[in-house]
Amino acid sequence: MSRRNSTASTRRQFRVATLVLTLAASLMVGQLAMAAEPAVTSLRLGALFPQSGDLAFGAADALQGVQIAVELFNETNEHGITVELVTADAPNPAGGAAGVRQLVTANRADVIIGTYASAIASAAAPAAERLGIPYVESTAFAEGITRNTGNVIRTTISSGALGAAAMDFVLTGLAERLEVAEADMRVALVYTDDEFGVSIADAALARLNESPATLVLQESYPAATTRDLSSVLLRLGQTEPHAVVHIAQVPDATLLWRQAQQLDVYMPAVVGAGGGYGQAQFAAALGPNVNGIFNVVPPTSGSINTEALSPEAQELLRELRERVAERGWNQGNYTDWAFMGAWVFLDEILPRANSLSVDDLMAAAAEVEVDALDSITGFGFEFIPAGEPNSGQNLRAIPVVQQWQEGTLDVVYPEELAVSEFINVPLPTWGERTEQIGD
Amino acid sequence: MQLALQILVNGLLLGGLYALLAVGLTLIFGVLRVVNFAHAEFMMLGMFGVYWVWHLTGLDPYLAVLVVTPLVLLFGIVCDRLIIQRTIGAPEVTVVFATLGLSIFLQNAALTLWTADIRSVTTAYSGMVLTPFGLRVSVPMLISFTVAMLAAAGLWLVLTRTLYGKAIQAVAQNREAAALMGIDVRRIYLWTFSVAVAAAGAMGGLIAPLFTVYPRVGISYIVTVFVIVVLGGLGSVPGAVLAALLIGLIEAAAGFLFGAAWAELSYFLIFLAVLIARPQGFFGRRGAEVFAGR
Repeated sequence: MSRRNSTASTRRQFRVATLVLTLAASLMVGQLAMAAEPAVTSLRLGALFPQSGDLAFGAADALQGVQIAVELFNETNEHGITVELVTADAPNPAGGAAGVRQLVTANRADVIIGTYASAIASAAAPAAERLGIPYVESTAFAEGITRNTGNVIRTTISSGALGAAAMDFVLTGLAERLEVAEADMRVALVYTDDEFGVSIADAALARLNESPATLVLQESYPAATTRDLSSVLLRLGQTEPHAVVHIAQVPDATLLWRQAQQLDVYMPAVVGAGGGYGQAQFAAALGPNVNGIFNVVPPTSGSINTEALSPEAQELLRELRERVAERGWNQGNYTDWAFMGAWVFLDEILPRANSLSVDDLMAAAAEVEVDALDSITGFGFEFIPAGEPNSGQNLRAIPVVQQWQEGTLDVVYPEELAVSEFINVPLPTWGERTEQIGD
Repeated sequence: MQLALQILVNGLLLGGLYALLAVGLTLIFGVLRVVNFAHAEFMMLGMFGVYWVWHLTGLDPYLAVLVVTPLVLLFGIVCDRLIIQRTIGAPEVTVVFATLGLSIFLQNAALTLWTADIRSVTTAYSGMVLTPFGLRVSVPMLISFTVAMLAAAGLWLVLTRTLYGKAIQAVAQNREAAALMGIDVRRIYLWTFSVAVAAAGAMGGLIAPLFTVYPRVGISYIVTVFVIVVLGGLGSVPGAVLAALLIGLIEAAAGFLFGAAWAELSYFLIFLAVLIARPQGFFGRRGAEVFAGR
């Protein structure tokens, strides 16, 4: 190669390098500019939760979590984004779809956040999709919410993960503690025949089918009209399972236990999967008999070691707790999930979005990575990109196993997240329980 | 055998719970010709009443029933004066919407007053059982069953053996003729409605130690109770009791044999089959408008 050619080549390389550096610098400036001034500067957020009807009591916690997240974001965000919260009642699935229309047409909501109940979310999210409105699901678990729609960003766990985790715990951690080999485990599955119950049960069954363990009983019942579970219990008594996975709301979960005591049906271990088994009202109804019952749920600040969280997450939790206390509200599981879901949407997804369209918000969500220690709930955030199966689902929403111990729910499994040891495995018989209560 | 007897006991006890609700509902229909969609809401009020008396004073739930039932009766009088009396003689659709509206109002009033929190009455005897012949009989269920049967029998005796009962029957058969004979029809209506809803309130109070209490708890009962009333024969007290026990038995047996998901479906199938064969129900008369008290 001649010196002339070599010089020309060097010049070309220099020009290319200069161009690349200029472009890179431009991009960096662009990025900085975007960070300082996001494309979206205002948002009208529609909160869709049951505010009347049976579900209102739990949903109130969720709505309050969203309200505090919006309030805190408006006070503290450095992006200059302002969020206005509008609300609508969604007491049932039809009310959910109507609530979406109200929020979008009358209240001009850009994005909807909900919903507390799977059945309502399953009606509301497609209704929002038909109107081209993004939907943030902070608290409902049913698998179909993200599987059947393309507009949902779900910050919490899916029923598939919940059901699979419940059964996985039964077949591994619980079996080991019961000193029963997985292949010898006899498992019963009892669930409500609504969207919530069926979707979790399907996932639990799928996990069980991968195992050599035996399904000894599969029973569903209508949650809204069941007044008697004696037939379920007599069948349970006959099949003698090592463990029962029960997916229920508070009234039917309480009924099962009261009738089990009346009929002296012994269940060595019972694992609830969300719903009623995680509610204080369930524990209040059972009294000391609640100790030892398991519940599989996404973790919350109340069930993890919050001192292990990052300083930023601890500060966020402190703000939440103070604001809940100031108003005399209750900080339940749904407060935490809804607050953190709304916070991640506002603080992580919204500033990254080029617009409030479904596509841009889904794209922004796909860029988000929040570590578990940066979240008050103890689970992180990473969303499945658009176009992939179950798009919008938070992959890092992983459940933990809690156990009722002295009236509170403590994480006992997996071991790395446990704050307490197992108790009452296997559960005492009813005769032993009577003695304990009498003592 | 033991298992079959246990299912029989479970079914009868469950049927007993339905019976007291069904007797009141059939009485209101038979005498006033009012389809009371709000009937189970009076049960809900009884449950809440007992819950609050127990929660605030510590009074035993069964003693609290004695406090709450008269209050529900008084509230029944108010509802009768303000709503029911005004619908007598009005088109059926007016009556239906009036009681449906009352039902929705009471649910939402309870929701507003007491929130949607799910509450429960827990006592030392909530889980207590008797074990005759190795069977397990829940003491609270047995108490509810016994009171329901005694109340139904007492009501039947009043209706068929007393002058006041005969006056009620006369009003049910022909309101105008009864009025011409000097019977105060409005008074009969007032007491029939009030006593019937008070029975629903008492039943609510009796089952408070067994079931959770929340504003929409009545919804889970009302359809079943309507099935019972129609099956027993509209206006028939013994028919309502018999049908209630039958529905309880079918629910318990079908739930065990075919699974809990089949329990409701089974009694609806039998309900349809009975209506095809005997449209007036077990003890009803053809046309089903006339209350007989028998």
